[in-house]
Amino acid sequence: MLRAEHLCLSGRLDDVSAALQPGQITAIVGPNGAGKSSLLACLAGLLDPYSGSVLIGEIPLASLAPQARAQAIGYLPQSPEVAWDVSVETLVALGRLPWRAGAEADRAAIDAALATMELSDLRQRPVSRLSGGERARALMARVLAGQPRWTLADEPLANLDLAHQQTLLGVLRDQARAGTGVVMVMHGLAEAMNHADRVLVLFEGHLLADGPPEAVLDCATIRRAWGIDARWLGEAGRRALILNPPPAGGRG
Amino acid sequence: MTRPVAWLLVALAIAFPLSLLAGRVWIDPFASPVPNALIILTELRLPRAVLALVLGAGLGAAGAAMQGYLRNPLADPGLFGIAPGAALGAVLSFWTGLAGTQWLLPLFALLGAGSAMALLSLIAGRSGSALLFTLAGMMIASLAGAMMSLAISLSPTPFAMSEIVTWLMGALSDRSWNDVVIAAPLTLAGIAVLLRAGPSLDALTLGEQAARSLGVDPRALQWLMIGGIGLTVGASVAAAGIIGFVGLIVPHLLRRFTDARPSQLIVPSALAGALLVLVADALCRVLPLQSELRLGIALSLLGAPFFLALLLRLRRELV
Repeated sequence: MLRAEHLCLSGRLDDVSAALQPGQITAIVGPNGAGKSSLLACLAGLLDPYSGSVLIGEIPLASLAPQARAQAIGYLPQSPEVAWDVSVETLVALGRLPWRAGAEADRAAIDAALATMELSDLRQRPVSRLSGGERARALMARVLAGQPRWTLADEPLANLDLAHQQTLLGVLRDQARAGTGVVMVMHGLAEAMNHADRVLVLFEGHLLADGPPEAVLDCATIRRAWGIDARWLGEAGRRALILNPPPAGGRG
Repeated sequence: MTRPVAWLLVALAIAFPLSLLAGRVWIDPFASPVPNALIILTELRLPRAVLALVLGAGLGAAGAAMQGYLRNPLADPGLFGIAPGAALGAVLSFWTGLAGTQWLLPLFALLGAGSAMALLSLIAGRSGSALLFTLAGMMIASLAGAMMSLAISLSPTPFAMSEIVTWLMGALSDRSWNDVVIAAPLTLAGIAVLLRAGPSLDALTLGEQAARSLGVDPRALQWLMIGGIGLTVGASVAAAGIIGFVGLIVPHLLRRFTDARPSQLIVPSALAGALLVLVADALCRVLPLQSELRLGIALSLLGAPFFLALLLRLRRELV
């Protein structure tokens, strides 16, 4: 279990508590500036909260050695930064840095991650010659190569086309089935609705709602957090969000 | 062994003996022996060539690590202010008239480098942020530069002033085994420290936050960088004055021949740095000028146009 207890971060998070389960996909949603990325970075042990703590199992994350923490938690940042023009394979291999597992285990994990993200044919290609989507997949493969118990990803779908979004969501579902805890910051409410087991809605730094998507992402919550009128169409698992037209003479 | 390393070792194996033969007095092994050839070789040229290898290796490795640390191909080991700190120490030894005493000049320079390192870690050591670290380094560099200018303008005798100015230009002339004894262990230790930082520098390829998520401790890395850059650059300034551009050019030229990971660039850059300084110093000796061209000037003359070309190319890529 990965547990946030009363996390406060000046101006960004206000008393956020949540216990995340392994084997589940948890989506963190909310409007811009709600504190989604800050919460994810706290859960990854990369931001020290002003007060409160994050526990992995029963151990405070802050007391873990950096290497042990890195083995347990894989983190995909929002920025697709790659400073040097390395090959896809070299990039993915960076995910093995927390381990000193030996060349064979490393090779197997790297090959598996490349295959999962459909990058085996591009392994020798320099990063500068990848499309935005290919780069996003390579960066995700880097996280997978580390074989973490928790995969924390900040907007992993952002640069992907529809087909690769589905592939990635499928990969993350497989990971969750295998027992990995998956936590994603997302903007797409429909993806959260259809693919997450649990949704945390953040609004102005506090936790507005927490629970299964069908229960949490109702019209009232969406109106409160995003200030839009919308309704869901379709059946469970295949929902689409439709915006209601603004009333005449209304907002704006 | 990777291919660039093998090529560089071959080039060094050829250049090293040739550089021993080159100079004001050419030593032709197949012609009739030059008087005092043995003394020229063992007491003048051999220590000088070994020192060139040592200092070049240190500067090359420091440049590769520095570019990796700052994730910037235009970064130079001089950015941390350690070289100006060391130079200030040396200038003070001239100023106080102690430079003539054996060991004291390099000792002063190393003290200067150490002070710059201490100041750097005092200012930036707690945060682990590379930006703050670089700003602190630039501040130390300009402070040390100002104090050097002050020392020069207040120098007690015109002789001391000219000695300071000449020394600052950087050279390997008249160096002895004593300088090798000081510089070699420090430089090798510095390169070892930088190599230890290699995996963390690789992780930084993905940005600071991703690197931390991969288990990099930014503060520990900062200590390794201060130690590694301090030892290599400090030793180089102590033994030869300011030698610029090696740390900038060499890693940049070699990156395309490696897999571009900073850790894989350190050893090739050390070898290529050694080769560059060795060859440049040999050229300084054989150029038909009235007095020998200072190595620091020669490398800057080579380096500045290179830097300009680099900027122009970067500009083209950005447009």
